[in-house]
Amino acid sequence: MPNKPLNILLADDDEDDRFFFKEAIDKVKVKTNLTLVNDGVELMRYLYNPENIKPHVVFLDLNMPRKGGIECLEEIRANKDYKDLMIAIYSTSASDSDIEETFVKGANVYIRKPNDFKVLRKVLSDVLSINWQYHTSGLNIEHFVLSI
Amino acid sequence: MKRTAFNIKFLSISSVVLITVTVFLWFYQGDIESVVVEKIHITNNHPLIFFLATVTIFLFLILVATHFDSKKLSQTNKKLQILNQSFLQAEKLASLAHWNYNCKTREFYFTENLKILLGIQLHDFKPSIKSFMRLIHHDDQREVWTAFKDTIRYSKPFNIIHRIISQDGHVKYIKTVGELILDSQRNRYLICISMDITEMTLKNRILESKNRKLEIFNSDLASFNYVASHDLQAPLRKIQMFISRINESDANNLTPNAREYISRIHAAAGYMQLLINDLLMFSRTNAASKKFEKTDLNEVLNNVINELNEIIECKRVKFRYDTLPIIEGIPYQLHQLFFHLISNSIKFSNPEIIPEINIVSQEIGRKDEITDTVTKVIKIDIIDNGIGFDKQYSEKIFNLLFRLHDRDKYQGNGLGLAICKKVMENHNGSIEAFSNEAGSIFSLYFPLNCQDQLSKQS
Repeated sequence: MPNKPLNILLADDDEDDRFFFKEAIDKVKVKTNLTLVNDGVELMRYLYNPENIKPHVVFLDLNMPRKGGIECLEEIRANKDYKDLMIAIYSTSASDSDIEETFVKGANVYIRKPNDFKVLRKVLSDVLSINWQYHTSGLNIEHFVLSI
Repeated sequence: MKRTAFNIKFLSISSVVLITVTVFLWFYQGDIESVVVEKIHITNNHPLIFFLATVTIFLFLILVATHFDSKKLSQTNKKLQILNQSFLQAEKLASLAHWNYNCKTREFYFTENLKILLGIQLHDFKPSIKSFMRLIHHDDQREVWTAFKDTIRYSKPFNIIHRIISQDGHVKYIKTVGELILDSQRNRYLICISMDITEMTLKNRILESKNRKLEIFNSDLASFNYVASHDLQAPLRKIQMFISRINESDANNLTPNAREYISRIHAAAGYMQLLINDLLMFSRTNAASKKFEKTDLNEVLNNVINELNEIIECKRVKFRYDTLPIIEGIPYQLHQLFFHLISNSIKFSNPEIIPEINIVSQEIGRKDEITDTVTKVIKIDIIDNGIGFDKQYSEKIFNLLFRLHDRDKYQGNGLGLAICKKVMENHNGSIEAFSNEAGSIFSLYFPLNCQDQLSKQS
């Protein structure tokens, strides 16, 4: 397990955000293999293609053109192949309604996009070192939003 | 009526004839020789006179009684007339008319006002249900007809709004209610009241369109909130992100001037973010959807203290507080309220002494200036030993964007107390501020008897 890289997928339509994410993930100590997609449609196309590597964790922006994050979340959770896929919401907004909806629809963690690079690095390192199986067994909305 | 008049006439004539005969007999006692009657000897106490006198008196009494009776009748009649008149007048005033339809004879009876209501001339209107139907707007005829038929068939009362077209071509909105009744002979009547609701309907239309506009305005506001919370924050967040990247990796390559500029950009961006967040919070406080629920203020206070933990420890703030009540309220708004008040107390603490914050809760009677009654309220005082403020600002400090200090000295944007005031208004309460050399007191008043109403409103 420690030598195997963690497969990470980020769906975000914002170029700058993808850039920050890539830079931050490169600096995280955990060995990772990052795939970037530009929106929900691309994400679903990637997941449905059996030739692609299955990700361990998907970071999902909510506000994307064509297909938004919540739509993707519903679609992923409805697919039994991806029942256990870890989904981290990665969004600018932290409105109560978004948090509640994504929690109810089965996301594993909610990250509000930070405004400091150091914080972003710490968040990613925290999320990637969570023992997911353990984390999901005690689902609780209070622990759903990752506090920075 | 006719029968009574006839009776009176008959009685009066017979009385007069009998009186004449009796008096005549009385005076000419004993000597009467009649052509009709054979020679009769009549004396003063002859049974005929006695009989006639009795009958006369009897008839006279009946006459008197009938007269009084008829007087009473005519009085009642007059009253009825007045009543009828005032009924018609009332119909006119209320813009309604009453009509009925005899299901057997197909007679259509209506009060005068129906013609005014429907805008028709008397001679044009043949009183029948068909001519009434003809006045109804073409699109509504089927519905009205069905209502009539169903009422007659199933004796189911109806209540419909339909249009009619008056003779001058105006469309009027009429509300007609009706039901089937049986008279003493078990004849079926369709009894209806029609009222002109044109004015009301048009006013409603205006209100509806205003309401729609308001809804659009509200949804615009909601989308503005979304824009502010998302679209406006995203570029700002990226500016901050890039600054943090420069600071982290390239700060050493910058000239001291450039470093200074970068740090100023950083501060300005930070302030802008604070402003966006607080404006957003303020506009959310205004939001129409307010969900009241039982809120334990002790829990709210503990959460706020936890949230401010870092600065509380840093400034070594001493807290002392009573057990707070559980109230009907909007939890996140109450959280904001305590958050702003306590962070203000910490922010404006006196640097020379250890900051102390006391929170005192009590139930008191408070006089309402408008209704002049004393009501029970929960008063919560947040007392600090900070720098306070000048008495003249005790009301102004709650104004939107009002600030007392330079941003260099004390961070802030003049929204915190405006939010507090809004929150208290949303809870039908109020907030007051006092200050002296010892510090400031912010008093919150939550109405006690309003708690039930508040929960009903939600």
